[in-house]
Amino acid sequence: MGNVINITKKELKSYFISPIAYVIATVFLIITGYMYWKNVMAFNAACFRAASLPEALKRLNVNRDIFISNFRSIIVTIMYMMPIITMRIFSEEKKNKTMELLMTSPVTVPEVVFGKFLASFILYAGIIGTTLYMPLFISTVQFTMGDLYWTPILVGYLGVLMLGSVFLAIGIFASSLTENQIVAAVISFGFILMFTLIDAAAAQVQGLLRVILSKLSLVAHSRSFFNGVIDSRDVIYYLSFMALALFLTFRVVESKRWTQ
Amino acid sequence: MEKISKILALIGVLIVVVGFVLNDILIDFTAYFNILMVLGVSTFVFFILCNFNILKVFSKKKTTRYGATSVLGTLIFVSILIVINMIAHYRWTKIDFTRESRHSLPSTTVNILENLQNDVTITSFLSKGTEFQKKMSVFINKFSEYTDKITIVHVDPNVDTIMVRKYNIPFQTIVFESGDRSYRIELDISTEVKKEDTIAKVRNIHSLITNAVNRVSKAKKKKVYFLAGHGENSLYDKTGAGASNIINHLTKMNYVVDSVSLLKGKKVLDDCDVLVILNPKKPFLKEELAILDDYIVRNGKMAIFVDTDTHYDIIKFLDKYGLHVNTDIIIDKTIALQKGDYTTPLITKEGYNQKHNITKGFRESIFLLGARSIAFTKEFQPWQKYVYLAKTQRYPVSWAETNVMDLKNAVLDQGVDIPGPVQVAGIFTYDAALAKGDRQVTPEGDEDVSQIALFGDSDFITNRRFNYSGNATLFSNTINFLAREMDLISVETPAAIGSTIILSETDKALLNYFSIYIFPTIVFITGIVVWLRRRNL
Repeated sequence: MGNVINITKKELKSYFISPIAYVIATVFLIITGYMYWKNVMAFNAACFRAASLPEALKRLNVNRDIFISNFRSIIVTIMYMMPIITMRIFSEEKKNKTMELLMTSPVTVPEVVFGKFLASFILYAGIIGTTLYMPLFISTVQFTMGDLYWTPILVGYLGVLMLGSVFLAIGIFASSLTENQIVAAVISFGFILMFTLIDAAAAQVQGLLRVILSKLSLVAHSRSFFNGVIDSRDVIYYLSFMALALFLTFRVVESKRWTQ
Repeated sequence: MEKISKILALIGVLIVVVGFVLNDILIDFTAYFNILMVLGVSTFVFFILCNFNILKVFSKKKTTRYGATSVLGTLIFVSILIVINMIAHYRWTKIDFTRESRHSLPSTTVNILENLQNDVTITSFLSKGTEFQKKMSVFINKFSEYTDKITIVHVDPNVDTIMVRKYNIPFQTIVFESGDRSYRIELDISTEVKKEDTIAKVRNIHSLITNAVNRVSKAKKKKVYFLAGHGENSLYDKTGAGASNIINHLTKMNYVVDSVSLLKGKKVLDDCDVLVILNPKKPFLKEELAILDDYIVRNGKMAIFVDTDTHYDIIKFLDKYGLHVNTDIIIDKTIALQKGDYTTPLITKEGYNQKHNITKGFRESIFLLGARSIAFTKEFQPWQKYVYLAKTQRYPVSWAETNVMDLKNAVLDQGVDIPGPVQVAGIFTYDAALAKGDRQVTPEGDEDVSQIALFGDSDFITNRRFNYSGNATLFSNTINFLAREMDLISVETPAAIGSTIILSETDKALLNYFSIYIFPTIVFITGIVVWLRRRNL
């Protein structure tokens, strides 16, 4: 575990001494901040329109109408962000010829892979954490009916973190395949896009293939979280996908030991 | 020879690929496909035979052995993950963290689904592509998540005309089938509705689907008989004063509904699960009352609805068991009818007995008309139990007025009239075996006891008022309770809880500047500062 922590620290340092983390966080905040502002304004307008209609007012819900849309915006943004965070993880080591050094140091391959994953996850969680000002702001404004219910929002954040972790694991795997960072980012984005749009492909086929494809969709498994529901099937699917991507990374990195 | 075998192997690959492509494109290509496959495989075999030594050396290489181990390890790992996910698919749990559990089926529905005894197929015929169809499909699919006895089939009636013809049904229908029983719900969605209305509409259909599943899955139908022959509100009278709506309502809930005359003899109530007496206005014969007594002794279940014009015979019959219908009329100052009096008592959620299964969690109001107050007047014996179901509002809003001649100017006469809240519905339990000394204690459950649900009004379930607010639900809850169909009681989805905000101009400006400009800029400047400082170290 000590080795994992050391690798994590080293990776985190490398993120924060370069401008990458800050640039990513800034762009992410501008995009999600703009989408959030639009959602809140639209909801506020809807509340005004429904003010004289008690039945219509009952159908408006801060949790559903602002935050589910917000989580979707965050997901779309991180789809593009994740490959940039992860593209350098192994590619840079290979390019700088530090991979050999890492492989001969007294750390195991799983420790290297998990340490790097943990560092990228901490960075990602930190970036996502900056969006907590959104529900905090809503909790301070004046409610004409009801109030903000925090639990489904926290469950939604759990979903964002789990889905993002899968994207990270895919990105790390893509980075282990090549020493070119751009190629790694493109491969990573391709995988993420494929497993995001797979349910659209499922709609085009019939039978068992349809069922299998629809179950593989990464985004489909996030819907329950965004609705404030934790479904054990979604949790296990995300953990399995993450484990598979990290296992494949481990296999690819380890293969360097006996292919050279 | 080795060179030829390599060329042949490449041709073999090409043959196999072409074979698969042509087989996918051409019809009746199976025979040729098999020939091409045999040809392709033969070239591989030929290649292996000619290059056996090379393959032998290759297989002994370190990289081949490590590679094979790696591939095998990966396959085993993937297999383990697939197995875990398959187990998770069948053994799952779900926690709904929304305040009103809006993404879960109510516990009553889950209870019905988990206890299903027969397989049920739900076939939905909904035109694809509409918001309603999408939401409805997701909603129907939830029913199969709790049991493997439900199979869901979604049919697009615009495409699958064979199925439409087979079932001979209109579009936007859901068909429920179990064995030789079937039931269908026709949905009224002729006009396209807004997204939020769609969600509300789908949620409203929930109880219909639950009842339909329950209906087709049960082999035995319970019988509800309505007493006839004494001027009761008729089941077959379709006017506003009739009670024909009840037939549709109970039939949909899988009951057999019929009217019964006690003149047909003693055995007429042998197969009756619930006897309903709807405001009899004419006298009873002694023999008829004896049959009713006998029915009670045999643990019969009755629902009796009385009114201001109910014949005294049935009032006297109830009195014998301690159930007293007062000679009064309930005044409620909340609502004044055109006549200008206040004889339409409104029962609100505060008036229901929240401890009894019939009215537990009941929120809808009911409107009565010219109702009488009721009470249990005898000293309680161990074989008797009485609880109220519904009360009116408190005095001075409501009271039971004995001077029925001048209702427009009615005021409470202390000591004569009964101040609100007054009881308008109650349920009486009578253990005949305990009363006779055949047993020492009343057993658990209500199977072996007699029950009488008494209502001081019958107008609220006439056709004119049956569908008002919670009138129909209170009636069906009572019948379901007496018929021991507890899982049909009150399967309402919890109402959505709204939450709305109002932003001041300051809020709007603050949100705009902070979320789009200030916060991202702070993060960016921090980054630049850290980066520059690190670079200068």
